[in-house]
Amino acid sequence: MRLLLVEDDEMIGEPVVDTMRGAGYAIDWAHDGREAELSLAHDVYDLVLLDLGLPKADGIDVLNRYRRRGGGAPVIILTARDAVENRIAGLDAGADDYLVKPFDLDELAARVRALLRRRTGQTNPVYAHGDLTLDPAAHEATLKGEMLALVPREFSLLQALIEEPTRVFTRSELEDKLYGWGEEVGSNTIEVHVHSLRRKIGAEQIVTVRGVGYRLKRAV
Amino acid sequence: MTSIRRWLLGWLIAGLALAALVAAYGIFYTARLEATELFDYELRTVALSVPATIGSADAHARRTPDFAGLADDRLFIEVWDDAGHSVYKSLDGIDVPRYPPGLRTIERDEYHWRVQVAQPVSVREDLAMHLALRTLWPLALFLPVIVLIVLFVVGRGLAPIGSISRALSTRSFDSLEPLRLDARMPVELKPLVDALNDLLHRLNDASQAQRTFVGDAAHELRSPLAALKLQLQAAERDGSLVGSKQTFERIEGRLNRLIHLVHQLLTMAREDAQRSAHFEPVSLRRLCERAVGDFSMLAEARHIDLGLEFNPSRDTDDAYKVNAEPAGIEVLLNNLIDNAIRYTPSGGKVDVILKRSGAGIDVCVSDSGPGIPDAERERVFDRFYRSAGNKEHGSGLGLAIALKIAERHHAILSIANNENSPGLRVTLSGLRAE
Repeated sequence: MRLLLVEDDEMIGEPVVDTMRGAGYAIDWAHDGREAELSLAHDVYDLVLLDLGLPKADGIDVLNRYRRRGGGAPVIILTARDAVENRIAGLDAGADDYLVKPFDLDELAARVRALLRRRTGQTNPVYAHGDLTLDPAAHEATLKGEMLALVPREFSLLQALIEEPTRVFTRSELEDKLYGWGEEVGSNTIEVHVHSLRRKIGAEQIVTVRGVGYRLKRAV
Repeated sequence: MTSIRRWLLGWLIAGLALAALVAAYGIFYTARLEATELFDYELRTVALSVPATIGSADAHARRTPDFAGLADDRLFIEVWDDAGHSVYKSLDGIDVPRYPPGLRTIERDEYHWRVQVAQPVSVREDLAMHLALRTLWPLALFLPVIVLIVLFVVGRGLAPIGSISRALSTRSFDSLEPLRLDARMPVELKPLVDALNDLLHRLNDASQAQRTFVGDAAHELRSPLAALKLQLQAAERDGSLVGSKQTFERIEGRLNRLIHLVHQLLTMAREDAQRSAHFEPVSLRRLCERAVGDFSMLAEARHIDLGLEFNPSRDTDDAYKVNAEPAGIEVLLNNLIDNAIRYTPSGGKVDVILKRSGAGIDVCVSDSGPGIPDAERERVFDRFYRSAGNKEHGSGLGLAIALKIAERHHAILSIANNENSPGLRVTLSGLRAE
C-alpha cells in the first residue's frame, strides 16, 4: 500500500508520516501543490491525504485536475476549513472523506483503513472490538476467543454494530440492515434480537442509548 | 422623533386655519363697516323725509306709529323749529339735547343715540353682525374641505417614503441587496436611496470580509494546534518525549480545551457573519438522535446516562418535522448537550426531550448538575460568562452561540432550574412544526 501525503506544514506532516509508516504503509510526502501534481502524475498511489491550503497551487485545484485526468485513488482532505460550504466544495471536487484539523492520529488511521478496505475490495475483513471479533467471510464470531453460537439475525446484528463500533444505530436503521425490502418486521423485533444477542455475549456489551438505539460498549 | 407627516399636517392645517381666521375677521370687519354706512344712509334718508309740517300732524298718529313689527328698529325723531323749540318727538319721555347737524354717537343711559334722527347703536350692531356673519359661512365650510385636501395631498406625497420603509422592513434580516430605484420613485428620494444602497453595499463587503477572515483565522489557528496535537501524540507514542503519563494527560487536556475554544470562537464568528439562512423541512427527531448518538461515547466515559425522551410519547414514528436550518440546529444541540454533560457529575443523567406544544415543537436539554443560581440566569447567555466557582472549563461561548442560532430561527432559548430535582433545563421553544 502506497500513500501520498500532500502537506506543507512540517509539524503536521512528520507525525502523520511516522504513524502511517508505523502502520505498515509506504508513504511519500509532497510539500506543495506543484510537487503534488508531479507525484500524482505517476498514479502509483492507493490513497492520497490532501491538505487544501497549499503553496503554489490550491488543494481543490490539484484534486480537480487529478480526477479529470482519471486518477481514481481515494482522497482524504485534511483541512482547517470546516464550514459546510468548504466541505461541500471538497466532496464535490471528488474527495472521499473530509477530516478537519486538528484531528486525532487514531481517527486518521481508522479512516485510511476504511477507505483502503473499500478500495481493495476487501469487503470481508475480520473485525475486532474489545473482547469481540467477527469474521463475515467465515461467518464466525468470538468472545474472549470462545466461538459464539449465533443465529443468522443475531450475527447480522452483531456485524452491523461491530462494523461501526462508535456509531449509535436507530431501530429503523437496524431493521434496514437485518431485513430486506418488503419483509414484514414486527414492532419490537429488534429488541428481541438485541435481547437474545445480549444473553450470548453479555448484556453490558451492547449499550442502549435511551430514545435513540444501540451501539457497542466503548472499547477501553 | 419628528414626523414629516405630522409636521406637514400640523403646520399646513394650523397655517390655513390662521389664514382663514384672519380672512374671516377682515371680511367680518368690512361687512360691518358697510352695514354701518348703510344705516347712516338710512338715518339721513329718514331725516330728509320728515315733512316740514310735521308739527301740525295728528297727535295720536304721531304718538303711536304702527311700528309694532319693526319695534326693535327703535328710531327716535325730534324736530325743532327755527326758534329752537321742540315741535315733534316720535317717542315721549326721551330728552336729547340738540346737536349741530351731522352724524355722531352720543351716550344716554345704556343707549347711544344719533342726534336728530336717532337709533340705538345695539340695533345697528345686531343687524351689522347678522349681515357680516352671513358672509362668513362659505368660509366656515371651506375650512374642513381644506383639511381634507391637505390630508390627502400629504398622504400621497409621502407614500414613496412609506413604500421604501415597507420594502426595507419586509426584507429578511440578512438581505443586503440594494434597493431598486423605479420610475415611481420621486427625484427627491433618490439621494437617500443611493446613500442607503451605498451603505448596504459597504455592509455587504464588510460581512464578506468578516467571513473571509473567519475562514483564514480558522486555518491560521487550527493548523498550529493540529501540529501541536499530532506532535504530542506521536511523541507520546514513540517515547521521544519523556514525562509522566499524568503530565501528558494534563497537557493534552489543556490542548483539547484550547482546540475547543478556538472551535467555538470560530463558530461564534461564523454565526455573527451569518447572513443567509436556508430553512428546510427537517426531522428534529433525526437531528436529536444524531446529536445524542454523537455524545453517547463521551457520556458513557463520564458515566452519565444520556438519552432522548418524547413528551408525550404519542407516536413512536413521529419525526417531529420542523422548518429549520439543519446545520445550525445541529450546532445548537451539540452545544447544549456538551454543556449538560460538562456540568453533570459522574452518575448523573442528561435528557434531551422533544415536546409538541401547540403549533410548535420544543427541544429541552435537562441535566442533573448543580443548576444555575437565579441571579446568574440572565448572564449565562453573555459571551465568555462562566458561573462563579465553576471548575469546568467550557469556552463560555456555547450558550451565546446557541442563543444566536435560536434567534436566527425566531425561536426562544430559555433557561431554568429543574422544578422537582436539582439540575438545569435549557429549552428551545417556538420552532414551527411542518
